[in-house]
Amino acid sequence: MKEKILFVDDDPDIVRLVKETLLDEGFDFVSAEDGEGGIKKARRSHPDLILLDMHLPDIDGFEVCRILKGDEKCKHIPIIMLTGRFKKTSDKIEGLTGGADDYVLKPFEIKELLARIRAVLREYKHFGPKHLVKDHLEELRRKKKD
Amino acid sequence: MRLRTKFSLFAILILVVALLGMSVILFIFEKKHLLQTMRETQVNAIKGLAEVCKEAIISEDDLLLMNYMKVVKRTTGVVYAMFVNDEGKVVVHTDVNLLGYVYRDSIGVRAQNSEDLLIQSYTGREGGELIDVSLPVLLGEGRLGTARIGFSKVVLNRVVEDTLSLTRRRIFVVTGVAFSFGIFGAFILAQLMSRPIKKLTEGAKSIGQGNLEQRISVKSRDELGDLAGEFNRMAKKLKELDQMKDDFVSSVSHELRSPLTSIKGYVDFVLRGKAGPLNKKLIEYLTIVKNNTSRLGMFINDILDLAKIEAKRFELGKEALELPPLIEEMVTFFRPQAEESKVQLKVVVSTNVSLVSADPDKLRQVFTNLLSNAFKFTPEGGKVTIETKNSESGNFVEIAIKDTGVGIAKEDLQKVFGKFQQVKSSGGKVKRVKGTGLGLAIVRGIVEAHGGRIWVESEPNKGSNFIFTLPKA
Repeated sequence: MKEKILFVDDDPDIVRLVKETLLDEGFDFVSAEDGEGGIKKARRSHPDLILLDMHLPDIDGFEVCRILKGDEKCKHIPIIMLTGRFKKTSDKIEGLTGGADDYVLKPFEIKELLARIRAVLREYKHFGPKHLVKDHLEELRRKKKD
Repeated sequence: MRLRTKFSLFAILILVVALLGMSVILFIFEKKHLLQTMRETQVNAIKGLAEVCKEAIISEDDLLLMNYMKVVKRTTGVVYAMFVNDEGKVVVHTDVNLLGYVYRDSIGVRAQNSEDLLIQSYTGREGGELIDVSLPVLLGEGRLGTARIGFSKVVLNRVVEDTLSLTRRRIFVVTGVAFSFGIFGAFILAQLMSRPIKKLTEGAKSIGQGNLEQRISVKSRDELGDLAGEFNRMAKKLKELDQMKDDFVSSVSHELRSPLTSIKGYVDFVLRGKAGPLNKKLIEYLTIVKNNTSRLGMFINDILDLAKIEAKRFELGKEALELPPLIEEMVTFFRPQAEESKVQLKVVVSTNVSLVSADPDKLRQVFTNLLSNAFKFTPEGGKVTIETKNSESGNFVEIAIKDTGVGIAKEDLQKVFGKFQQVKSSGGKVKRVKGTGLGLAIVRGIVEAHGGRIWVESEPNKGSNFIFTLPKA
């Protein structure tokens, strides 16, 4: 079965660029141009991975990420954030603790993006959602302490 | 000199001048007043004598005069007192021996001839300085005679001196007390003045260090309070500007990067033949477009990095870091480039190298910039060495990246860490090198943000050695 990627970005040129690349590489592709649309599509079309731009016209990418990771239907879907260079280290931390599984800096090499997508998907197949693993580990640790 | 010291010294100086001036003036006036009083006493004494003389003559009561003479003689400073009649004969005298004596000396003559009060200073027969005060005794139009009293200048002066010395003592005591209070007051005042200034300084310093949330809590309703208010307004404004700048930088960087991503991606599509067959020229041109797009992307990143470094807003995610694996990673990354340019890449790590406290991403950036420089400037057959050891002194680890490249002229050694500085390659061995001219400035910014130091040793045509230090973890 083809893996489905949801790409949320407001720049149609980049959407098309990623779309053509992913279709060429044998992925299914859906896209949304803003945060709200992205959340809707994530709930409806059950993507296997979400590429999320940090800058969106309506809702901040971090916020979208938090909403998705808090959503029962979507929290198991891995998210890769696309961002300009991080403004601050705290942004990176915010992104990753907000539930993003990885991040790619813009301007990205399309090859790098593909590699990251594959890596994250592979990881998920083997270990399941990263944050769930982390929660699980923390619970184990807590039990050990008790 | 500290402001507080200045305040105190100035206040004390004013105090001293004021007290000194007041004391001197007080003293002079006191003396003048004393002398005047003395003179009045003398005049009153002679007037009294003259009156009594008149009374005695009118009432022909010699006894009255005699008794009065005794009183006069007891008066301080009086040496003699007498009444001389119209013919110049002494009628009454404190010295009974001189009754009937006729004064012919100049002082006596002048006293007897004077129509009014006359005061004369002279040296008496026994050598004492004397003051003779005389007043004619008149009855209607006629002159009955002359009343004369002689005062001893020495005695009078002593009285004046005694009184003045008492005054001096009093002034001294009062001045001393005032001075002590004044100094105490001056210190208190200086303290009151300098404490809010100190607060202001600390607040301004904190704001200057980029702590824009800082507000200065000087609430006094004076100029210092106003100044603090202005400082706070300034900090608020700076905060707004800072936010604006951040928004600007982040939106500009996004707006610049998105089109670059598109250009790069579509050029890749064409280069991969997605748009149809390619010819050699097309590949060549598109490769140039691609390379320049990469350069532009790098340049934007460099400028943003440098902007952050210069605004001291470089946030470091420091951790205790093992250097060898990171260096190994860099070597793997640069191996293809080394092989392509036929340059040997060597790593020397001393066995006991400590962990360093550093941000791994930023440290990678330092290595990347320094290594790509080393490869850029090293001709075929050269060697690039990464050497790591604990610093001989202090808690640092020293990392050196040494090449056998074109080197840097002595006059350029200081310049290489500046912005937009690219040293002209000497000789023709290396083709003109393209770069942003920001790499080393960023490297220095990162190293210094870690608390380290960077410097370069170089000899033209022999090679350069960039050495930087990082604090041990």
